[in-house]
Amino acid sequence: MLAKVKSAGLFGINGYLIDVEVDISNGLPAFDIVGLPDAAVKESKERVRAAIKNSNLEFPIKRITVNLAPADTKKVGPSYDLAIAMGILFATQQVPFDPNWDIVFLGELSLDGSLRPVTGILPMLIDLSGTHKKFIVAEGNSNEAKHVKGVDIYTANSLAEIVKGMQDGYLFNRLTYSSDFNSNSHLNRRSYNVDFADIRGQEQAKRAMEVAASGGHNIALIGVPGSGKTMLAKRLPTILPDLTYEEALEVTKLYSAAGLLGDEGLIDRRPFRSPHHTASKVALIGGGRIPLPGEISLAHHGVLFLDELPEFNKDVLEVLRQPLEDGYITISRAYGTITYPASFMFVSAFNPCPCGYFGAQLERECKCTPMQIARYLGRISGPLTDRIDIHIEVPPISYEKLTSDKYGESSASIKARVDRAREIQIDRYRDEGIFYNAQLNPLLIDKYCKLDRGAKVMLKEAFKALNLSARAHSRILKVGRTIADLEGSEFIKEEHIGEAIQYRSLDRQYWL
Amino acid sequence: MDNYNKVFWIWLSSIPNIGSRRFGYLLRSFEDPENVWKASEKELIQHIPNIGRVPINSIIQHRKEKKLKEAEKILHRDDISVITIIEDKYPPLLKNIYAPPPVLYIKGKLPDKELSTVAIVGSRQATYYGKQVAERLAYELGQAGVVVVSGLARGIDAMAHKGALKAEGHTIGVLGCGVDIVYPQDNIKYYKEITEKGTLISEYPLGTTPAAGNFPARNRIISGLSHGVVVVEARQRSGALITVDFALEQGRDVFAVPGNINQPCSYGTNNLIKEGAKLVMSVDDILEELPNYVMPRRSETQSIQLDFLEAQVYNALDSEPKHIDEIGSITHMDMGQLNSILTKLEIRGIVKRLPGKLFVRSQFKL
Repeated sequence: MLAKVKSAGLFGINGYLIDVEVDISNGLPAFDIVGLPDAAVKESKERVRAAIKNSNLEFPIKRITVNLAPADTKKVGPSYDLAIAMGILFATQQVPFDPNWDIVFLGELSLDGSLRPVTGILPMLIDLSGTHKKFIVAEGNSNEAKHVKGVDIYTANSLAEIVKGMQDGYLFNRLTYSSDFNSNSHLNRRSYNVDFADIRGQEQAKRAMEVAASGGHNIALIGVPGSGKTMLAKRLPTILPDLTYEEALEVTKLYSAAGLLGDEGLIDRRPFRSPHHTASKVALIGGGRIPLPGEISLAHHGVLFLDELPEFNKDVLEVLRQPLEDGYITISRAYGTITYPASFMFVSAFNPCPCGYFGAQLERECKCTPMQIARYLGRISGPLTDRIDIHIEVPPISYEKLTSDKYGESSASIKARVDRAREIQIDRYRDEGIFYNAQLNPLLIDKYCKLDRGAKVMLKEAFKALNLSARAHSRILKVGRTIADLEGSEFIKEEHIGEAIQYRSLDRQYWL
Repeated sequence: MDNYNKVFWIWLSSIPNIGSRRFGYLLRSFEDPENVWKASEKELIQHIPNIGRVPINSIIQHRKEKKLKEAEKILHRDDISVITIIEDKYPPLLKNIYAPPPVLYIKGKLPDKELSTVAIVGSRQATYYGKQVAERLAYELGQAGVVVVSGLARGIDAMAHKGALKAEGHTIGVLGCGVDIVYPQDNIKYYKEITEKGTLISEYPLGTTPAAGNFPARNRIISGLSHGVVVVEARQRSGALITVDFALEQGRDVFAVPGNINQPCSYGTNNLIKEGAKLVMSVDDILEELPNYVMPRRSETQSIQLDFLEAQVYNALDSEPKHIDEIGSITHMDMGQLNSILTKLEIRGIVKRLPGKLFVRSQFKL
């Protein structure tokens, strides 16, 4: 007797349909799974056998063959357990079976027959929702599954529950689509547990972060140990525009595929990732036998923060260059070639010199030679610094500042300005396929970064008088564009360029 | 002196174990390096019994035609000139010190002999204050037509050269390595500029690497070339104090710039003042001590035109570096505006930005 059941697999962050075919025939008792299963899939034999037995059903003492089609893609993970078990029950006619049923089964079985949640539910459901309308998933996945619309999703706690439901002819817990969110509208996000108001002083750093957030510019924070670089970076997501529904889904899919989703359901806050400087290339960009998303993808639509940048292995940093430019990363392994999105704001922090006290105005003086400083900063390659638009020098904070009662401006009020500036940009770049100023390429810079007379003169004079390096030019224009947008000005004026120039510390000759 | 003779000078001076002192002995006994080349071992021992075995062996070992060829090649180089102590071109002040270098390698051209010369020396790890003072004094000395001598090291030395070059005055860099070697590498800019507009001097043969032992000896040339030595910042055991010792021995004036008594960098200079060095508060304190120096006209300071906001920012600044946050809290301006005004003032050269986003009033344009 043959039964066909539907399940789904995950390739990167894309779900695809898998047909589970179960054939039961007479012969020596055996249980084989074919269709390129990996170890976890092969082990599902034991789980399925025990689960069926422990649900007071009968496991046939016959020759059982399971085929996972398409047979040429490698199958991983335990998510086919439920489909295999259902196939066996259908084939032995313990449960009535109608070939017209179009149900996709997703779930891992435990030995006692209860149903466990699996990773990657959201991407699988979303990608199959166009062609399939009925899904059965574990109760534990409901937080994630309820965000998929236009489909019927049923949840269950155990195999027995599903079997009973099908025998009785009606389906159990139907999940209602969570309608908190509308497509395209911004999410009513939960609040972050940090706020810019926590930071006293550091006015220029906050202003620079505001500019960076408005234009999506990458940042380098430079300052002595303990000056608050990390504190500032952590608060960047709080002033970034809210995630749209589509963005939130994309981020959630990535976390779901990586198995990092927890109880959160839909991720509605911009992610903030700060891998330690001992991180490997694979940890950063993703990889493994079956390529999983790395830190840069987990920071998608959020912030990737690399503290102590020069301490990172040099070739680890080099791999960042391509995703910084393209906004995605393609990873190739024997298992297959997977593309993960990786569009993030890159925030790095480092000391100004090996001892950390260069230019700090503290009792402790810097003892580094210019050569040492050059070598230290030289660990960050030119092509990487080229992708950083804004340099912020963070001064050490004095005790008086730290204990003063004056709190800073709140994230919410900074964010309001950022939101306005972003709207202007989205509107302006409607036909260009980009969203914010940091994405401007040289061609678009010429088109959109229009300087008024005063600004032109100033830029020219600044290059002559201040020893700026040539690579600073387009960065200054882009940042100038953002500052003009913050002010709602169509042209980039003298004062906008003047401010932008101050954000190019590393181009100043005194660093080398 | 013709090149034929000079070859032997170069040869003898570049033999290891023959320093300026021994060179002096040999010169007095043999009258000319060529005679040393020709002398037998016996003659060498006879004439100069007190010189010891080791240097004599060195001389004998180095009597190779190849060495003379090499020396000749140096003489044919356009970028480097060699001056011996018996030539008129040799700096007169230097001639009169103890153990003057017999041969000087020179890049660039020597200044007019009539000019007054002042050395500015100090710590390599100087504070911003020290660097600023060194640069200003050198600038003003340069403007006053005084030659500024220093050692092309980091810190005070580099600033002294920088100031003199900025004033388009003449500056001499005395090296502790071959005159063809750039050390420290970060001063390559000054090295090149001094080659073009000033003088680089070394007593060491070309290609000599900067060994630590060369530098104290180099200091005697710095003071030897100068009428006076100004110490800007020195720690308790600074190399600048070695220069002071030489200066005193050579009978030169010693000046010191006072500093904060809590600053380790000022210990040496304050101590010098305590011991009787002349305290320097302005360039006039130096100029009035120079023999035959006539005070020239002072250029009028030009006034600067600032609008209201610019003036507000400018008035919040002084010669102590201030962080932009501090300037912001004084002027109550928002950061965007403040940043752009600072850029404007920077472009006009009346404000200077320092590492750490610190700002100071600039000293030269006023």
